[in-house]
Amino acid sequence: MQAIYVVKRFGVFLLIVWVAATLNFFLPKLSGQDPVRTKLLQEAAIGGNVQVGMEEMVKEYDERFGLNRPVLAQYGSYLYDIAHLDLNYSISSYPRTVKELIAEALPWTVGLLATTTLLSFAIGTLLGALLAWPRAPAWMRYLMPPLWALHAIPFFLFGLILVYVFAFKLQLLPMFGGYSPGAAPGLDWEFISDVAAHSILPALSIILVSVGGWALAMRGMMVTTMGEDYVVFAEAKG
Amino acid sequence: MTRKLPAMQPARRDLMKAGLAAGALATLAPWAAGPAAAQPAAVPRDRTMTLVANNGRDGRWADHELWNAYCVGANHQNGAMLIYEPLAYYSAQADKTYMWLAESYKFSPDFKQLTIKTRSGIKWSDGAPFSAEDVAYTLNTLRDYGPKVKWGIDVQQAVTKATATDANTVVVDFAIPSPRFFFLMTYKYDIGVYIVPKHIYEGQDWTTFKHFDLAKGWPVSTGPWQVVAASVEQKVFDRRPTWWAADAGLAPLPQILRNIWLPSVAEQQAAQAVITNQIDCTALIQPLTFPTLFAQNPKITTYAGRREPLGVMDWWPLSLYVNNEVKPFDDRDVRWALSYYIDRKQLVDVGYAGASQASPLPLPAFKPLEPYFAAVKDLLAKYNTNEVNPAKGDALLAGKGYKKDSAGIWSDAKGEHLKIDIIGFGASGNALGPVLSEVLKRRGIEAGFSLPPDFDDRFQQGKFTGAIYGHGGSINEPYNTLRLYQGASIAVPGGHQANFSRWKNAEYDKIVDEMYGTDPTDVAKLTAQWRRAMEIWLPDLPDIQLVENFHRIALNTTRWKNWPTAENAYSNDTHWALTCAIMLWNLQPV
Repeated sequence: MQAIYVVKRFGVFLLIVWVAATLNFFLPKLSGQDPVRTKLLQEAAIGGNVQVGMEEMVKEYDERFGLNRPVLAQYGSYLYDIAHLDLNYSISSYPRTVKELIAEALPWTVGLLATTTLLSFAIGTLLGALLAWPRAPAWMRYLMPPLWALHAIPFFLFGLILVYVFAFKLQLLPMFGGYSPGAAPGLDWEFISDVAAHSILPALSIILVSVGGWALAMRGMMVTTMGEDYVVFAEAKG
Repeated sequence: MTRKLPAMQPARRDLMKAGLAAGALATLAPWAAGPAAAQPAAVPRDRTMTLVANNGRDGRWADHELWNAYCVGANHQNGAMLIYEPLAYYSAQADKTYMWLAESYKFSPDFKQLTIKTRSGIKWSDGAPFSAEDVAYTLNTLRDYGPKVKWGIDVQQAVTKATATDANTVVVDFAIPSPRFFFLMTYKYDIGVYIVPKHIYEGQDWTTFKHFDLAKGWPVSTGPWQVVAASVEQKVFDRRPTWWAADAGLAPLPQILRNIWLPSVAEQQAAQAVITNQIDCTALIQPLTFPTLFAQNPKITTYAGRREPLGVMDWWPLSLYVNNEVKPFDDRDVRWALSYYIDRKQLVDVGYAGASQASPLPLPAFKPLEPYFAAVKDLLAKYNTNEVNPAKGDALLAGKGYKKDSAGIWSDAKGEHLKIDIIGFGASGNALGPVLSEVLKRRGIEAGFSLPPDFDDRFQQGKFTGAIYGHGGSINEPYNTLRLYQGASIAVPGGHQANFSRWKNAEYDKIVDEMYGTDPTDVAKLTAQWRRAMEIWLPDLPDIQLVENFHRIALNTTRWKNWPTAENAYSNDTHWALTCAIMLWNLQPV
């Protein structure tokens, strides 16, 4: 029984992956654009000069990427490559591979989002619980409305305000980048503190925006819990 | 009976552990994110030039490992132009050629052979001597790669063989007369052929080779700059202790000890960074941002000082291209009617806050092009491409059977509106598009404007009725702009592919082919040919002239002086152009 369940679930998983991969393949095709041509022409527009022989270049790289083959043949190769975890070259960042690009970006994304999610969860949950707690300090009641208001603001917009105040006006924190211009990456305190300083504003924008949501949810749960019979019973017992 | 529920929430201690792990991961991200970088020595900030580049993707460098400028994914604007020195530089502002790796060159009388003399005593940064072999190898390999690499087709069309006859002589044989080939190789704006080190590139696949390995000292260069760090965050070039050009007395050893190139950021961030002196030079800035910059930092200036146009003229005058293959824009009277309706001053005042100027011809108003402007002065008086005269426009449309309907829109006999959907891209599209469409609407044209993501594709393939675009053409003589309108070329097989306006005139094509074979230094002959071509082009008006294009860059004089300016026009300040090195060796610490 359990084996059938596992097989079924695995089958559904494979189906979802296949549907997602198929959509991922066909949706861009619907635009009718040739990605090689688009990339080359964008480069040309940046440089202000459309090179002689652009059409030949497009043809050459369409062939190299297999984009001149029938769509179904491309789809077959695509599924085969995905099944082998071969994501091949990135057309937009050629000759870099997609794997290289993911490996490069992932630590930053995971590092920032994991830290901020955990911190906002911890702070928000604590605040929510305290808000519902009758013996919490009175000033806490004034803390929540602004956090709830912030919750409605997209964090990238809120980030602009933080940059303006803390980086531009007060010049307390860096304005952009992962570390300071000219800083040499190394396992030393100077560089680690530099990266940490650069992470404060991005992290703060995410935390301040999402803390309100966590707090609201926790407060609701606390209020419900405090109204439960067993709590009333425990209180009655002193 | 009770059953113990599985723990749904992580324990507090687990949360703290996870938080610490994630924090550590975030801090370690820079090491995980890129190859081990060299540890560059500390350089004082006042000898460091920090600039925000014109390119990059979402505030990151996507090509920090790519220093082979011929790879199709590469862009010389992102720093490679400092690594590969050219045979010569040309500054349009100074109208001056700086012979560089080449000492001299000479064409055969029929322009089918070019002999280049390279300088002696030049070494690559790894100690290998630079020689004529590098030049010959570069050209022959480009010829062989053709469309697989940048500039491959340009070289393939012309070059049959390049031979290094001795250590300092290269003889290039051409399949067709190629009087502009040396200028093609010369660095100016975005045009130029990069000379690569044969001892590194030989045996590599140019389509994927990155030429990046800091441990090996790659990329190697003959120039004064060595890449010491490159990551998604920044590209860092340190000045090498010696440079052959300084030893030869051609240029001073740059005073900048370190160049830091940051990827492009949003304009407001660049503005804030230059106001607070965190950077020394921005990328493009919109005219309306400059009053804020000037008010908040007295040390900020531009190529034009604090006066309009707040920047340097680019080689890219902007036009309203109309598709000459699509009715009714295949009719010159309709094109002229549109031109008469457009008030360029309005475009400049509203689109650029007054910081631009009208452009009468598809050539930039550069000093070396002045004789060509003068040669058609009378034609321009007759066919005034900047004239605002709605009455003339009305008469031309009425003459074609158009009438204004009850809504005030010009309609043909079938009642169909005269409609133009203008597409644009980037800063020029944003600045001009809305004003232009409004100006035309007020004159009874059903005009719309959009910034489609597939602009380049549509424009290149003729899937448009109207488009705002520039002219990557002439700099010091008119041939390169005129060839943009050729429908076909016999002199240069495959050399007519631009023709964005899709205008065709066999007689014009013949004249431009004639110009192709003309010695580019023979101004008298070129002027006569140019005039003959414009006698056809101007009455027909294949595209409608709008305004000059300016590069407006904020220059910070807090730490660096002797920036290029209108009064000190040794070069432009467009740091993404191939001539960037000229600016860098001229800058001096304050």
